[in-house]
Amino acid sequence: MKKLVLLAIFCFGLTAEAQEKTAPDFTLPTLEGKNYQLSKNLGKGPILINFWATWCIPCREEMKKLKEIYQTYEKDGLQILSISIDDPKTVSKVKSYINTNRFPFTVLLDTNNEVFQLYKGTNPPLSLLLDRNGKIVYEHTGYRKGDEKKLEEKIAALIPQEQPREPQE
Amino acid sequence: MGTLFSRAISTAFFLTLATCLPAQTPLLPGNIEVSGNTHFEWAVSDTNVSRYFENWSDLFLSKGGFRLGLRFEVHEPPASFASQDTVTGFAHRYLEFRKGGLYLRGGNFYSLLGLGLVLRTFENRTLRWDSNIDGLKVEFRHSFVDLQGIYGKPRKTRLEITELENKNPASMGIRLPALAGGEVKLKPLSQFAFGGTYVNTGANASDVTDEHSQRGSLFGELNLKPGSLYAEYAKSDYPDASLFGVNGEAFYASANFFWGALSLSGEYKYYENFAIDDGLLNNPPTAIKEHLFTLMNRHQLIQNADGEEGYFAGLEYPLIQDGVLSLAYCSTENLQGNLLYEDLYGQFEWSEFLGAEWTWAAGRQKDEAARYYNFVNSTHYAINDAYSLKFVYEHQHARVAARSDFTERQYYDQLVTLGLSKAPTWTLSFLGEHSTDQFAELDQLNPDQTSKRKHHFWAGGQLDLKLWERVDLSIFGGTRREGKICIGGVCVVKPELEGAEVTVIARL
Repeated sequence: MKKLVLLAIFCFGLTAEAQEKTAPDFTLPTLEGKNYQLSKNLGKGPILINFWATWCIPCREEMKKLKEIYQTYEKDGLQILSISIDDPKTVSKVKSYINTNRFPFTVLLDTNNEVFQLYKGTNPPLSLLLDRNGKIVYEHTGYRKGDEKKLEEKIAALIPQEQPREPQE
Repeated sequence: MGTLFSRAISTAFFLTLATCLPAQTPLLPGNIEVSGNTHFEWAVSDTNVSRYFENWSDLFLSKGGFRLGLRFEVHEPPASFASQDTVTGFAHRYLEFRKGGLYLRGGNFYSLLGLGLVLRTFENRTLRWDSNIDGLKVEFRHSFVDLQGIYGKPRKTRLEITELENKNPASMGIRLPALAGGEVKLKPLSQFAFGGTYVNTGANASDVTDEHSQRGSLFGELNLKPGSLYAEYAKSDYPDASLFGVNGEAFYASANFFWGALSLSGEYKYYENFAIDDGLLNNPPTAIKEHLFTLMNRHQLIQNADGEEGYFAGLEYPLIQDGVLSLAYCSTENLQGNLLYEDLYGQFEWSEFLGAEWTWAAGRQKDEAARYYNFVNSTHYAINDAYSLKFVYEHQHARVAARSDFTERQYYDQLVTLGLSKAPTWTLSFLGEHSTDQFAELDQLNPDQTSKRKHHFWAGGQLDLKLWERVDLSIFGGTRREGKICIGGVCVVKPELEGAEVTVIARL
């Protein structure tokens, strides 16, 4: 009976009014050991949250593309939060990977995957694009070569029109 | 009847999600946000052991800083390839509150203290691992201090056969006695932090067979521009040591050093009698190279925190523009000085060569019984902005030492993956494996020893589809070899498949 009640609540919810989701707030440590709180960094421009891990091959491929996107849109206020879900077994390798590959974005450590689960993550990579108000405007799981084109279009659409940028070739 | 009912509930949940996915988040009266996700794995196979139907479905109701979470799970059979106790029912229910650095959660939760020497409970669906605690968690993060306090009963993730047979299918798990613990981390300087952790397990247990232990650790962390250092020392104490356990100690340290783009990293571990409740409640760092490729991953170290000492050393350097060299070496011995695992590994990733991305890797793994020599080539070629081709070839040559019942043997395995993708919607792949191991067949108790080399083949096709941007559907058909999957020192054996496997992950 309990199961049916749950299902009924869920179905009712789906028939209700729809709106864009608000990104849940969180606080995570940076690679330098400082705390980063999402809500304190809203309002400056779009934010791309990208969950990844050193042991995830598609994540590593995607991060190279995100670096190029960041270099194009950084001046327009784009922030990339690169959240490593490496657990205690592999977290010590994160700093080396970031340093050698010269990734310029903010890297956060979600060592027990609690923020990953808060964002309903099951397998990395998972990307969520937030507008300057913290609403989730685009979500994408996995990575295939070429996925970054659509992501870049979504980012460009969030950049104010008085500062247009040509998407990268 | 119960099986049909649970499958019907799961299927209804999935269909509801799938048909409503194009919609944005719905609102209940009072501006309560509704969201959810569901994850199906369904295998139909000629081999009995690998037929299974599993589902995890989450429903979330959120308003302001509050969130209510419910999870319904179906696992049939309950121990398809891991001795998990979950059958069918509500596996998680919790209420959480977040505001600034404050976080409160009542119900099911996970916890990590320090780097997991003293306590780590977590979920990993690949491993079918879920050691959630049912109780209360409080967390506070500030510029100068981070605090965490927990109280509750942890779930016993891996059950004995007798426990699996005797358990009530309606319940969602056997729980260990309540534990209480916490962590304090002080950050007097932006580059330096230190603190301690403490856990008391089974203090209020009424059953004399329950384990009563106290564990604590001290840790320090230094973050400077040219590098970083982390060290943690832990001790455990069993008040009833003579009956249930032996006092233990553990030490783990890691360091990074950077010189320009050159990165050096090192780890050291020493664990003596430190697998809490046989490793159900803690998960210290393994200090090994975690392998990304299938064949190497199959032969990684299975952690035993009751008696291990070892180290890891790694180097990463961009030898050329767009080309990064990685080297790693690790070694683990038991406390008597006998080698348990050794790994020497090199990899070169070149992201712009002949218009494609390349990875070449080679290495040698060694354990108590065997040596494995590995080679990998991975090529990823973009045909145009949307279409790409991926080819991965893995080769492994094994030399297994003689045992009392078998003579020394050598064999090789090779694995090929060939995939065509169209971004962002689909990937079509062929996966094939060839082995000359006479133990490769299912009947390992009666291997064919008449021939030294016997050929075995497994092959299948896989279609991965993205639907409505939020549903990932994967269909595999063919045969797939039984294989060990290792993540962070925890390993499971996924049984051989001869048939089809469907996986669906949907987000709302």
